[in-house]
Amino acid sequence: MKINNIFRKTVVMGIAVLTLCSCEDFLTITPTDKTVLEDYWKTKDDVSEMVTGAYKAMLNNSIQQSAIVWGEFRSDELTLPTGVNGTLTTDLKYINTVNILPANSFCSWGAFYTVINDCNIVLKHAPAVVSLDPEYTEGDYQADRAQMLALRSLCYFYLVRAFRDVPYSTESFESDNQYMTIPQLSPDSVLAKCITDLEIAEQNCIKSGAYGENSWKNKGYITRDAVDAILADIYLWRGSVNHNQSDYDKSVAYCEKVIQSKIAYYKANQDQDISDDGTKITYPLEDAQTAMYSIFGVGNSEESIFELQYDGTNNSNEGLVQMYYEYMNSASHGYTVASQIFNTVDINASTEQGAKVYSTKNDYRFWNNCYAVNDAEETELEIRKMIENQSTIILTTSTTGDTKSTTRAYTSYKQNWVIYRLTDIMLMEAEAKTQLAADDNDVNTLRSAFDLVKAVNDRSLLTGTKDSLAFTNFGTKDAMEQLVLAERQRELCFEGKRWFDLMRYNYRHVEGIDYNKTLAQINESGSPFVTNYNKMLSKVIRKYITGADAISFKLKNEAYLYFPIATSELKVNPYLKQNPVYIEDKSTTKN
Amino acid sequence: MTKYKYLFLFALCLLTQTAMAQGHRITGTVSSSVDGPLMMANVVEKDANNRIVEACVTDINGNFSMMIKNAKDNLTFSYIGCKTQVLPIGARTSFKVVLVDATSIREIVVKGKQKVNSNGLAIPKREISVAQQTLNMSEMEGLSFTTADEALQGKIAGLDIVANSGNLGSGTSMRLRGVTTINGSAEPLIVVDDNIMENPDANFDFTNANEETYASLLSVNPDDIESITVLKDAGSTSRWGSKGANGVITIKLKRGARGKTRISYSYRFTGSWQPKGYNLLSGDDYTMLMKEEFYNPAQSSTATTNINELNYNKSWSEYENWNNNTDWVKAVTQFGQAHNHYLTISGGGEKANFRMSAGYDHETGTIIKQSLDRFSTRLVLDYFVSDRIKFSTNFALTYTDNMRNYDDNILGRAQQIAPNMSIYRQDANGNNSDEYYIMSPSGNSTVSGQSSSSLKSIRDLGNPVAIANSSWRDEKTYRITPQFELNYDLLSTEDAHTRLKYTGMVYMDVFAKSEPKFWPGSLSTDTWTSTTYNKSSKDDYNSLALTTRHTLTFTPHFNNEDWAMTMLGYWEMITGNSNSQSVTESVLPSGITDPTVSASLDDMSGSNGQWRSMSVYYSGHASYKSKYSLTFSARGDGSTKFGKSNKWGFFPGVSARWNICDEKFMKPTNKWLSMLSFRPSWGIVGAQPNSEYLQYSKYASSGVYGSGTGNQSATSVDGMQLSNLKWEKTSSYNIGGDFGFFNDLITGDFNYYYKKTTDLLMQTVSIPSSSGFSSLAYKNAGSMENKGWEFNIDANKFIKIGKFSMSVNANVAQNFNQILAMDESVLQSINTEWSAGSRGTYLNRIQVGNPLGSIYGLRYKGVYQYTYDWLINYQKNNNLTATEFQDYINNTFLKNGKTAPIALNSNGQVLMNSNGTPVHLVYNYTDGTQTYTFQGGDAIYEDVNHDGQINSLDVVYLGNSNPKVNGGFGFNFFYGNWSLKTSFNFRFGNKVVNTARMNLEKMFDAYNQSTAVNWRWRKNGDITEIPRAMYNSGYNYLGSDRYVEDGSFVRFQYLQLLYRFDSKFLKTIGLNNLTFSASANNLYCWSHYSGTDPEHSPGSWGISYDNSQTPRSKSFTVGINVEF
Repeated sequence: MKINNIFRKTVVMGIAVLTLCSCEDFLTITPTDKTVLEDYWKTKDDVSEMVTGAYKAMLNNSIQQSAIVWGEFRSDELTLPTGVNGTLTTDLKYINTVNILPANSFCSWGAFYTVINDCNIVLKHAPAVVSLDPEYTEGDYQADRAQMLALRSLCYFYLVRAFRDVPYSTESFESDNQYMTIPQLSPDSVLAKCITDLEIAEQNCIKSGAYGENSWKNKGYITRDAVDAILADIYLWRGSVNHNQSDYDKSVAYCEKVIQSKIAYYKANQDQDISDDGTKITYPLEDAQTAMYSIFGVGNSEESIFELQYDGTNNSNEGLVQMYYEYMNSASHGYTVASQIFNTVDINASTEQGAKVYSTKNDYRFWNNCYAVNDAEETELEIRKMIENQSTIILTTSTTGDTKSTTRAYTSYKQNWVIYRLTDIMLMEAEAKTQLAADDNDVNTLRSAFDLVKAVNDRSLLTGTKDSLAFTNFGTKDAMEQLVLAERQRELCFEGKRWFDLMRYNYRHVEGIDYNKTLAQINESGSPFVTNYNKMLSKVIRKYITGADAISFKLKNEAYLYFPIATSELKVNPYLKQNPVYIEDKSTTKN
Repeated sequence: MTKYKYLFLFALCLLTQTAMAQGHRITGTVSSSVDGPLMMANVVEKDANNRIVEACVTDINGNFSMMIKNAKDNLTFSYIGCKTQVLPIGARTSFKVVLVDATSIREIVVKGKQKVNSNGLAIPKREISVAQQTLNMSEMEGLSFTTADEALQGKIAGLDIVANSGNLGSGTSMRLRGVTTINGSAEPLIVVDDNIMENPDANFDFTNANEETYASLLSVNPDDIESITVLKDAGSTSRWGSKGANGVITIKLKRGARGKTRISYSYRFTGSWQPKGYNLLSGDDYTMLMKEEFYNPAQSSTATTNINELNYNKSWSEYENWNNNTDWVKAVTQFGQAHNHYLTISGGGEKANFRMSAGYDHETGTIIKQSLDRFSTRLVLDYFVSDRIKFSTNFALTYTDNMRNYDDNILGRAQQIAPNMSIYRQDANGNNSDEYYIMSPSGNSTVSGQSSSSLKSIRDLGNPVAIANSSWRDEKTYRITPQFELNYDLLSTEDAHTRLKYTGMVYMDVFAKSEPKFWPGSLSTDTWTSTTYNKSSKDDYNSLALTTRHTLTFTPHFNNEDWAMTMLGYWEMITGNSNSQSVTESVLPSGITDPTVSASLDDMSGSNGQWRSMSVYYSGHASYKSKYSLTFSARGDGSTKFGKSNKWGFFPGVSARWNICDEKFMKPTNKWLSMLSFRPSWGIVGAQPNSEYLQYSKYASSGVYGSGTGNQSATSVDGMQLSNLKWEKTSSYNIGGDFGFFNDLITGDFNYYYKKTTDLLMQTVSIPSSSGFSSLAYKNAGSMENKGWEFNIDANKFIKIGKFSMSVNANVAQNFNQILAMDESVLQSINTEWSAGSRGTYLNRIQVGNPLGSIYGLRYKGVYQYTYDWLINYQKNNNLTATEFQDYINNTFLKNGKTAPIALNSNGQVLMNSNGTPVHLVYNYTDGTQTYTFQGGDAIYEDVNHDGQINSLDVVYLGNSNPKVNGGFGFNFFYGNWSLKTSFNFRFGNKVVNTARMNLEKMFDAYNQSTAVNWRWRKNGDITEIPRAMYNSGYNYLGSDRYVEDGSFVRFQYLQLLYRFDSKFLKTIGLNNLTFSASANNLYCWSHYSGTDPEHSPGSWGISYDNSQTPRSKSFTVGINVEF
């Protein structure tokens, strides 16, 4: 009896012990709809899906809206329509009146850092896959790495232009045991790191067109042309800030690389030969009348270099829709409209005194970029660029502009966002070349800059018009700078470029910028911020009907050109230093 | 050859079988000393463990014959009414048995100690060393409770129970000894017969728990409950380890008992009605108010010209629908009825006990179109295979069908809607048609067929009566909880020997819930082109959880019987999974309410969940002479929710008890002091996050990238990996004592406790977004303490005068909560900032050194009697110089108690501008966003810092949402067969934000208001507490102490009269028991609170708001209980 009991006991205990042994496994469950890190990073597909994931993260509504608000809305091109009262209206109103508070929702930079972190995660884990999956070659890895380096640099470049002093990390953040509170770096050091990365990327990046002739991937992924474009842009920016000739040289060189690559690709793939009579270079640009439809209506056009891809089914370009089309479904307006500088033409448009964007009605862009133009009374014009997707050609001989059609659906908005395209590069080169001209007598350099501008301008003019640009009118360095600035506005308006163009223009004409220090460091050292260039301000205030003087007064110095750091960021990262001009008094008491 | 060998072996085996079976045959007769030979008497062969091996019954002559299995066994002879006789078989083959009449047994004395369950062990009540309190449900007989928690209200010291709302099945919110967590549920753990009864619908946001959730306790019929024990200190709750941090409520269910089969039936009827709420404006008062409200901000005589709804414009086509005086609240409330039927059959014999119960409840709510049906059955079976082996099963099924209002807010809508509107569309003569009146889409009401856009908010409310009648939500749940248990005594079955018992248990919890709802197009208040028409949705959830537990209980027997010891260890495993899906469709064809037909699909989603856990537990109890007791327990909890290093949490508990009254030196007091003890205890309990997979870096599909052809699939990292996450742990000690006077006629206990929670789990903690993520799902962020005391006293029939006797019970408790430390960045990111534009809101903040649930806001000082301009005019009219003017304001104007929106210094003297005018008080000047200059009739907020403006710097602490003292008491009176029971509960010192009143007095929108606004400020000189009406402007209802009210109350919960018929009389009509009862519930509430009901729960760390939930109804119950 007793033995029996002891036996039973042992069996029971035994079972209990056995089950305990396997409890470590028992207590491990993994999600069924997601893969965990331990099981990821095994195959080539894993890497490429994460690389694509980084691009996908660029489709975030917040990135699209930031691109528009940071790069466009602060400039003279956009204003607020009356009668719109969406959730973002108040924030936009404050930006428009240069009353930006750190609580403003457009001070959020999170979406860009999400992309940056996605890139960093790929850069960290992809190398190990090379040894795990024979399909994933060193070459594949280098190509992926190049894209991630370039995409990361592009994001940092956006952040530097919007905030100036930003935290910089090449380390990926994946776990809560990492040190996440990182301080800001000076813009010079961030840009230097970006340039280093981009120059590595340039070596390994896939050549444009490598994905096959009609594939969206040639424009949707970063190719060598795109890397060169970003490099050209950063060099031009840095050259303008630091007044540095060699940066301008580099910018010109990278622009030229892109242009030559475009021409070569065009020659290699088009049936008709690009006409080249030896004296005049012709560029692979879209046809004047249909350009807007090809570039924005259809997307991934011949002259595109890098654009974010939306398919309208799985994703929708909501940011763009809300800003330019309808801020909510069936709303009468977008959050923003074009300002009065687009309503009529001004013969002096390309000069310093110009009050309007276009100098002639024979310019297709005048009719195409906004609805209801050619009405001097109109102060709020609906944007047509990127909104109209009909192939209808607007005649330059009309008396009034096209009326806004609201046939396009609010949802399923398949509208790519073009980040770089050829005319942008051509005008960047023209801008850099203008700066490289030794003086007004350096006709050759100025001439070559002028030719680029003219090529862009001519493309959009009515054939046979006499309104083509004449070099004699823009023979000086200053005049050429004005012309490039004006032409960039005509060509690239609403594409998130104008405010940065104006910032470069400002930087080129002020002295004493210390790009090696953060604003907080400058403030601590006791030196005042550099006062902004008057002529830049007078361009900005063209959009205001009232209160323009107050605006130019509020935009006192360099620090005001940037956004404040969001309050929510300052709260959780003690190392962040607020842009000194936005430091708030403590408003809430601690009881 | 081998074949043959096996065949031979097999044959041999068969042979042995037959040989064994042969045993030997026995015969005999059974007779009674009184009645002679007995027919159908039982003759049973039982082995050493009392297991039945063979049996037969006697024939008509009392003869029997049977083959016995083993000569060593015993024969048992039994017959109803006779004493059972046991004889050894041995070699005997013939038995002549004479049974003795059972009634002739001499009196025997049974000695036993009352043993109760503590830490899983059966321990004499005198040795319980932990803080726990038991409520016997037999005391609650005849009272109507839908769920067990309602019965507990006011009965347990330290357990604060607040009813969520008066809606059917809405449950309660319970807090035991304060809140120890800010992460998830602060509700105590419910354990039914040693099995955890979790709320299956776990995806619930506890932090903002104002929404009503499925009340888990609905699946236990209160009539099935024998007793409820509330475990309070860590010495007892550590048994439940990581789940016991909020305290544990253990429910013991009734089981069958040996004896005659009893059938009992009870029926109760409850009638309930809504308590009187606020008096609302009549139709005419409302139109008058609205006209003023639109006029004030615009100061334009044409402000309401185009609002036909207010103008009694007879030429308007809708005129007849807008000239009424509808009592909407009355239209949506009703007399609620509840019928409870409950039937049990219980009994048992030597081999088995059983108890079967079936309950059916049908309730209708006090709001129209609410009804709750519940059907519950339970079968409890104990089968004694032998003295050593027992099988038990407990099988329960509960079905509830809760017809709810579509959005649970019918009453809220009825309070807000315009009272001059009619319920039904009226014809040109003002007669009701049978169609509900729904306002036309808003626009410019001068256009025929449109309603005024100024009253859009009224239109958006819809017609409450129409909504209640035409839309529906039908929540159905099924819960099946089968339990199987095997008990095996491995050593002795006697108390006098060392015992070792094995218990194996399997428990399943099957839960299914479906919640279809439908919103017909006829109620639509969207635009004409809206596509959400005939909207139907269906949510389904089901889950299955399986628990197995293997327990060994060891009770050694000491030769010195002064020593007693018992211990147990178990190993438990829980695994479960769930899945849910929901689909929403709109534009269904009319007449179809099911979302499975093809229509416009709005939303479709589904999710799966799984969980596992494992625990090992040990608990031991030792005592000497029942005088000194020591209990130790330890639990190891394994969780899937933490990374490798933190998978296991260890939760120990120690408690001791010293029965001082048993000491020799206490002998003199023994006459009157029957119990005095000292009970210290200490222990740790924990908490874990309520989501899985946090310890992983997860890669999830993030859609596709591309523009059409050849899209590429994209992946992204879904949240940060939480490798640092630890268990939230609460270590606590409890010092308590029990006392009993006059042979335990008066008993009670006292406890003091201190709990410190460290590694507080905080959900969604912001991190620098430069990391690529905006927040961490969880973080261990700080520590918190709760301390307090509880006192409980129970005087059971302590007064006895003849047939009359009286009992009293009372309990009281206090809890103090404080945040000790918290990550600065966490604090920064969770605390809301003051926002100048948001009216009617209060800052919800967690501050180190302060308790949770604190309310911050402005101080309200009444209404400005005069406008600023009135003062200026006064100066002009009287040609006062600046100094004269200042003197006038200081010495005449202000001195006479007059007020105007002027800035005052800290001495209450006016501040003057350099131009000789008083400084005009403004709202939020510095910010520049919401600046406003105060006018006469505006609310006065105290300018705490005297800077001439009202802004965030004037925000002060206004009170706390948690009560300072809570408890309950009751008096019971008995006279013969009559008994009268009363129960009261109370809470003191808590503040409630009366949002309901705010919404009824704000005069800011088009909603109906309470009659209090008839006292609103209208012209200079008016002295009133109610500011002027301002449509969509002004700052008259900012978060201020105007709406922060004292939520203290004493509630007369019930008064019950019960009559039990005399048992002698009942025997004559063949009944065992017949009881009639009548009770009145929620009789009266003594409170200064101005709203309908001062009971409001603050969620886990929020503020308690009175969001005009359906208040707890008043009701009466009559019942009858019959037992055969």
